[in-house]
Amino acid sequence: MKIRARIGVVAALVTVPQLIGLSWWDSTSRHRAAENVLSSMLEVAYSQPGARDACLADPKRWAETLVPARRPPAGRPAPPPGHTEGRRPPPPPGRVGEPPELRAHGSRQAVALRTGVVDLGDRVVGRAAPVSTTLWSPEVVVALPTGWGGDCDLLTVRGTTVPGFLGSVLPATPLWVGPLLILSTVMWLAVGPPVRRLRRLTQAVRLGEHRLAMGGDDEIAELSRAFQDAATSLGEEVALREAREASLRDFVANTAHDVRIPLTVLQGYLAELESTVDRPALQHALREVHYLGALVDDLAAHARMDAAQPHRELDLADAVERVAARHRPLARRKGVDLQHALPAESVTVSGDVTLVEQALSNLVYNAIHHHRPGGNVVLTLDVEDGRFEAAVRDDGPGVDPHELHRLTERGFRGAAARGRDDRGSGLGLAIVARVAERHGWSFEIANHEGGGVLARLRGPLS
Amino acid sequence: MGTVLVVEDDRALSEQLQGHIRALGHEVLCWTVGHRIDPDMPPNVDLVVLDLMLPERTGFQLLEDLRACSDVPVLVLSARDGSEDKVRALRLGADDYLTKPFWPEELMERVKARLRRPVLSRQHRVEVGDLAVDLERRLVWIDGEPIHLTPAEYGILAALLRRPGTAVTRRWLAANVLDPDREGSERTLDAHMSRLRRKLGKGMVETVWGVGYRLGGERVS
Repeated sequence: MKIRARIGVVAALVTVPQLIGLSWWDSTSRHRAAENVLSSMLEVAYSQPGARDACLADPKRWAETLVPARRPPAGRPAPPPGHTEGRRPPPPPGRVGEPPELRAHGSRQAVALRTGVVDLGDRVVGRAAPVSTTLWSPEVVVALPTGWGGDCDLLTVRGTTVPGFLGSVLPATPLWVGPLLILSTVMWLAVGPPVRRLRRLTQAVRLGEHRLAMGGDDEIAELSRAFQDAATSLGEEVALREAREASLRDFVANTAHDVRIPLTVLQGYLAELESTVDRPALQHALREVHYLGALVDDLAAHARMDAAQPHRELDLADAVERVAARHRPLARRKGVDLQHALPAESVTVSGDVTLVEQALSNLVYNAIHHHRPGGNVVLTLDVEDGRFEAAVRDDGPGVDPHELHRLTERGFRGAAARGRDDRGSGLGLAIVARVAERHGWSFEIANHEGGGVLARLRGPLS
Repeated sequence: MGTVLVVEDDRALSEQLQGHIRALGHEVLCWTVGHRIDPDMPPNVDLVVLDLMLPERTGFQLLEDLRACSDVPVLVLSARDGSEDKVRALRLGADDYLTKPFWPEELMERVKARLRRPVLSRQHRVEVGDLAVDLERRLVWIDGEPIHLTPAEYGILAALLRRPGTAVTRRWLAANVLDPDREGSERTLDAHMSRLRRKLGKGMVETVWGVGYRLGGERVS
């Protein structure tokens, strides 16, 4: 529940019982006061000398001599002479400016109230006592059994608790209701600005705004300053980490660049030696130097992957051709036949050409590296329905099915790679998977039903 | 044979490059720094092998100078990882690039491909080994003798000619050369290919294990 609604509910829960309680107390006090006044009035009338005779002689007139005559309601004609009070319905109580109504009754058995008929059979003679009425009714009736008999056996006086009535005794307005209502309203209004500030702060945090601190010295301002401090420290930490990563990336890229030139020269010398020296050690050296080159490429690609690079249009057919040409010398030395096949037209896709070539290189390198002499590796590129498929397939022993799903984990090397003198960084296929992910392409690697491994990269043409 | 200009500042690598290119039978000119190129006197060579990081004038500047006055094919040597550099070089007019480290064979293959490919793009008449094709008039000769090809056979040959030495996939040939309504399956491709091979003679069209065909063999190298 939102703070404002919660405060509203709490205010209502506190205020409403108080209002009810105070209303009850007010109503009770009014009734008691009215009853006391009316009782005194009745007892004074009863105890006047000659009251009994005067009443028995003419009960109606006797009552009117004690209390001023009731005026007819404004705009209504006065009742005609001879109209008796008994047939007239009881006037609505509480009319401002009207006197209490004193009446003499012939029987004390019962008195008609607006709320019903009340039995008065066991009342004490000569003592005025209230006739019970409900608290929410403003009508107050007090009765006094006289024991005079005739039409004066019971005297009643009817009054009201409504302010302004002659017989009412309480203040004219319930003043206590005002402060309560004002308090509730003030609470409601006072909560508004802090809640608005909280909302603003929440929005600023959610939008990642740099300026979070708010003016003022309340708890919300303190909270905003705490957020500001946390954001500043987090920003500094992130900036520091980014700077470190950028520096590491630069270091790897520069090192890779520096290592590549001597590696090229070394490959050249070894290839030259190959034509004159026929020693297994030289073949090992050649493979190692190729592996070193692949490792440097993997490291550089890995570092490059973390830095956002813009994608540009590139011809995938050219990339496949370059990758095939790059690995043909290794394949020849390993005794593996590497072939590639392309569509006869350009295959334009959007991507980072270095990463795309690295991904394809890793697939081809793996296929050659884990193959036996005399084997075949084919790199193909095909286009169908606006999508390309670059596939590397070999006719080697395939991969243990239990290891297939782990091949793209960084650092994972299959049993075939671990068992022999082959070495690998375990980065190769992880890089392929990440390159595919960054380009929004799919990458699958599986054992082919015809034998060997089939690795496929698929994505849309640009 | 042709003349190749090698622009490489690393002396050891430059010497190796020169040796490999000479081994292909080409003459070699060598620069170890980036010289300014006079637009009125572009270097009279058939191919430029260009390193990007050079003292004095960078490979990019040299490429710009060169493209202002010549359309000689340029093969860029790149030791950089940055795709931007490769893309920039290609946009400035380089034809291809080779990333270091590379094997001598890789370099030689690229040099051969680059010296061969521009001929295809500029001329209507293409000669590959014993085979001569007039791409405009759709005529084919073997050893100077005209031979007749059906439209499907000619389509297959023209597709293979676009990248000599590189295979074209069976799927692409079936989908793009054959009429898909009548004969567009890989099975009918085999029949066309078999007739084309008979007409061109042995060793002209090679099958690449399970995936496609290429113009290959000793007769076209």
